[in-house]
Amino acid sequence: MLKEYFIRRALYLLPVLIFISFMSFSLIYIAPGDPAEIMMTSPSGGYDEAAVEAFRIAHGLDQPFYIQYLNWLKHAAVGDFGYSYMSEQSVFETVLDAFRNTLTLSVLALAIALVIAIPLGVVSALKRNTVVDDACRFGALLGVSMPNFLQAYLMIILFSVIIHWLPASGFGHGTDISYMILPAIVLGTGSAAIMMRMIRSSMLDVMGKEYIQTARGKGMSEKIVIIRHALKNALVPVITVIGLSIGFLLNGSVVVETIFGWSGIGNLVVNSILSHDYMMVQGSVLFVAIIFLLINFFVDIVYVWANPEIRYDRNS
Amino acid sequence: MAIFAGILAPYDYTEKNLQNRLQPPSSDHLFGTDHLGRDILTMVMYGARTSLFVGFVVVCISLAIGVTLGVLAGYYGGWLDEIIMRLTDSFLAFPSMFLALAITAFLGQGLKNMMLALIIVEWTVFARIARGSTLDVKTKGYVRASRWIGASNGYVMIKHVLPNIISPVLIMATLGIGNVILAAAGLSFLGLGVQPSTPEWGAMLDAGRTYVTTAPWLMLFPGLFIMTSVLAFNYFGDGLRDALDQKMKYTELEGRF
Repeated sequence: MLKEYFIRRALYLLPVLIFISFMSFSLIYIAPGDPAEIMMTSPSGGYDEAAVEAFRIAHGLDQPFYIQYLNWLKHAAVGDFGYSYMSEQSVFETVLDAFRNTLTLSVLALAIALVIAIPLGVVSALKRNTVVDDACRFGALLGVSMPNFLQAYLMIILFSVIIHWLPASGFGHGTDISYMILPAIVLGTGSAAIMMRMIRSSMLDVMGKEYIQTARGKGMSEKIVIIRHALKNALVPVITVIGLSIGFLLNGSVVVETIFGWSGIGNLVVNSILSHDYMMVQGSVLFVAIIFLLINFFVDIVYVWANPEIRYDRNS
Repeated sequence: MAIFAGILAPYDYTEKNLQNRLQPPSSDHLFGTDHLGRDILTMVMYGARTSLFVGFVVVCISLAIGVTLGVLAGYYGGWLDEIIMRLTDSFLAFPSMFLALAITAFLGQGLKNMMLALIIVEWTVFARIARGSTLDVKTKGYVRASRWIGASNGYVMIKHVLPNIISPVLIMATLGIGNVILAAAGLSFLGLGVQPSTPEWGAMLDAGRTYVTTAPWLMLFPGLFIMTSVLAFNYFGDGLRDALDQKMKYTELEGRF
């Protein structure tokens, strides 16, 4: 059953992968400017026709669309995303470096999110429809609606400008944890809000199940019922929650990394866009999409593995 | 308030007064003035127009595209379903902010391009929800009966399927407006949305970045307005869901932007 599901899901990946590679590649063609002309235009405005032509040939831009795509795909499949038009550095290596930094930040953010969301989600479910529950739910709603850039600046004002505890922005060579704290809190509290709502509803689901009634009927103390039976089962969807949070964290990284000057993938994409480094934008977007797709794939598999009773028919 | 901005606003949003720049909130300028001496309250009011316009238009167009494709996929099934759903999966494979960024990056900045990018990101949500609900409705007796007495497929889809999938779609649309406002503000904040001269909340925040320590009200007020309006749409969407007693999973709704 699991094996079958695994194979079917893996087969679904193939057309999606081909399509996202095609989408990423086509991006360059929806741009109004010609990359060769943009690159070869001098600051004074004029450009040299011969230099543009040479650049085009050097980067294969003179060939028909489908040949360019196939060539590009051939290289991309083995991890060669080309070279930055700006710095001539390998796109893949730059993207990989940036992604590593994003990953570090995301792991910390995820930890913060789980630490906040699990207890609050559980308490909110147990104290359903009380003031505590209302407060938690309102807090979560606030967290979902708060733009991360607003939160980021409020925190910079508070922690860096008023009480001088933490640096406002910077990278600190990727090892100094004090640079990570603020961005990780901004990212973490945002996803904590989403997680809390999901944990609350899954906990409520579980509390209504028969085995909880049975456990209570057997005379177990409420504490043991909650910890051993309800919580354990309610945490299975946390796997899905984590999977979803990856998307949230990646999306959030764009704004948060830009504000805090963290050298991650979001920052890289924004900077590449501002400097018209098309190859870099294309490579980063494709890389993020593939990683995101694979993470979701594994989350799905783990979820089914943890829930053997769930049936996944084709149309579910 | 957005509609009556022209009457309510105390000043003209283009009115610049460099002697009055970066004034803190006062009785003359309730929310203070910006780096060009423009009244922030006025700009926030006009900004509401832009943000709500973007939210409504993007959601309406995405809804039209998504629901059409979703109903077709769910109703006919087979290879059509396969193609439409793999297409949806492919768009969903990109984290939404990256896809929207990439599209605005390559199309060039501006209000229209930003809206186009947001539509490309947003339609998938509606396609999924419409398809799922159509699959449910399809098995119902009245749909089968209608087909049995010889109604055409088009007639069944419009007369029977559409009215019965409308409530989950409406809930999604309400939450979607909040999401789109948030995403649009994010893109403008990064300098990839509307031109800085247009009064728009995200662009105002971007302009205020330079003065965050000296004149925090430049960022605070538009930021609070974004939050309040997104909160309102989320609250309304949650309320709708409770009222219509939809067993919608959070997984369908959350984690978009």
